[in-house]
Amino acid sequence: MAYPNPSRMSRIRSSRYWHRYLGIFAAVFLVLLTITGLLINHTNELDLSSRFVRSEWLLDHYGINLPEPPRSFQAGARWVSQVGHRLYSDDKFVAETESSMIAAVGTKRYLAIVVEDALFLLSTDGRLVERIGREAGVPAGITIAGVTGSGTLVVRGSDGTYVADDELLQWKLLTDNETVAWAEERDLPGTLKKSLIEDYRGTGLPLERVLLDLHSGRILGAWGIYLFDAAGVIFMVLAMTGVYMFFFPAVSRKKPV
Amino acid sequence: MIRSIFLSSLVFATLSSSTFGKGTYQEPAEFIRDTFAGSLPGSQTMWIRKGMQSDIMDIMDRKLNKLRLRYWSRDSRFAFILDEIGKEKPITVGLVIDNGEIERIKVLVYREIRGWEVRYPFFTDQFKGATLDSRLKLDRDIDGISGATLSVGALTRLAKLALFFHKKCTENTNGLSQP
Repeated sequence: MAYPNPSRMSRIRSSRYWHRYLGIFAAVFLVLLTITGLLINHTNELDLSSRFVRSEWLLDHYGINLPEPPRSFQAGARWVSQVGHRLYSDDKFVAETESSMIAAVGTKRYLAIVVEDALFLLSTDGRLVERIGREAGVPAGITIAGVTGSGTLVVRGSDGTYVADDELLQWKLLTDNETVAWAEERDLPGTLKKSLIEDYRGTGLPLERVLLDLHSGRILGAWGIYLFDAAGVIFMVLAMTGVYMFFFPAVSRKKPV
Repeated sequence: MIRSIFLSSLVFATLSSSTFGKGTYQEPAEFIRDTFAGSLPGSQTMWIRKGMQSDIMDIMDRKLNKLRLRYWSRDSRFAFILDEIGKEKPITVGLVIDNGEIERIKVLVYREIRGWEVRYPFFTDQFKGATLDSRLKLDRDIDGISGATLSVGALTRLAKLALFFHKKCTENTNGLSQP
């Protein structure tokens, strides 16, 4: 048996060397990409977009902070607050809204959360009855809300002050002789404020976002993307050196007798 | 030159596609006015009774997060404004039911990043004339749209829910009663 060509032997050894060391480096990325890829592929089944990260350092890393301090009103024994787009009755999440909260008042039958263009009605036990919008006759451009002495809701809109009936189905202009207790913003008690902020932050970062960023390297910032690009190039080199070694296997180093 | 035009188009398409479909296509109040030929009839309400929740669960795969439904009706026509989440954000849809058949579905507010193609008539027209069978299924298959699977699912669920509510509203002669 003839000795192999020395330059070919050198190429084979070089391929083997690079394949081994790059393989060790790439293994970490391969495992990470495989796990995150598998999870991302089954996002819907695993409901990853509705599961949220609670880790403080990850939330800080993503900059999930309050856009502005919570705004609160006291309606009877309940605190009603808006934190970002989320409305709360005490510490219980009620609904999301894109509008700013104007007031929260307790009427004869409901707790009414008034936002710029709609009302959220809550039952006395804090459950959402319904959201009522302009299509159901809610006055436009609400700037302030309150309650009459008989417990009916009053809102001041862009073209007048209106009072609702007990079921909030009909609205009529308020007569001058009715007195109104207008709702005023209040400072939320410290423990409740802390709890709401924690809840808000805890619903700001879906697990799916973190997995996508882990998969692409974006979780490490701009350089993370280049790092994962490099890993991709290394996978290609591994594929090429692997194929090369498959077709040109190293011969036995043992000399023939 | 051609290459740079192609690349610019690609970049523009990529950047704009994420926000292209989001927005308010029609205000709910305007939809109701359109449906009832310019005038806005007074709204009516129906309490979601406990017995209805199991059927709603079958249709929506979740409980309804409100206790009362608001609707508008004149003669045999009923209009509903309903919300359902596609992937992450609620899609607001106006639905008109006439004599137990869907007359019209319109996406009023779309808040998701992808899947906005469901607002086009080529998709929503499939629901025209659809009815609900006793197993709470539509009487026909609705063709999906690639890349908009979740929004298609949301609109299909809302179509079934509106037909279900219509049935209950017409059965319920005392819609304002407490649960």
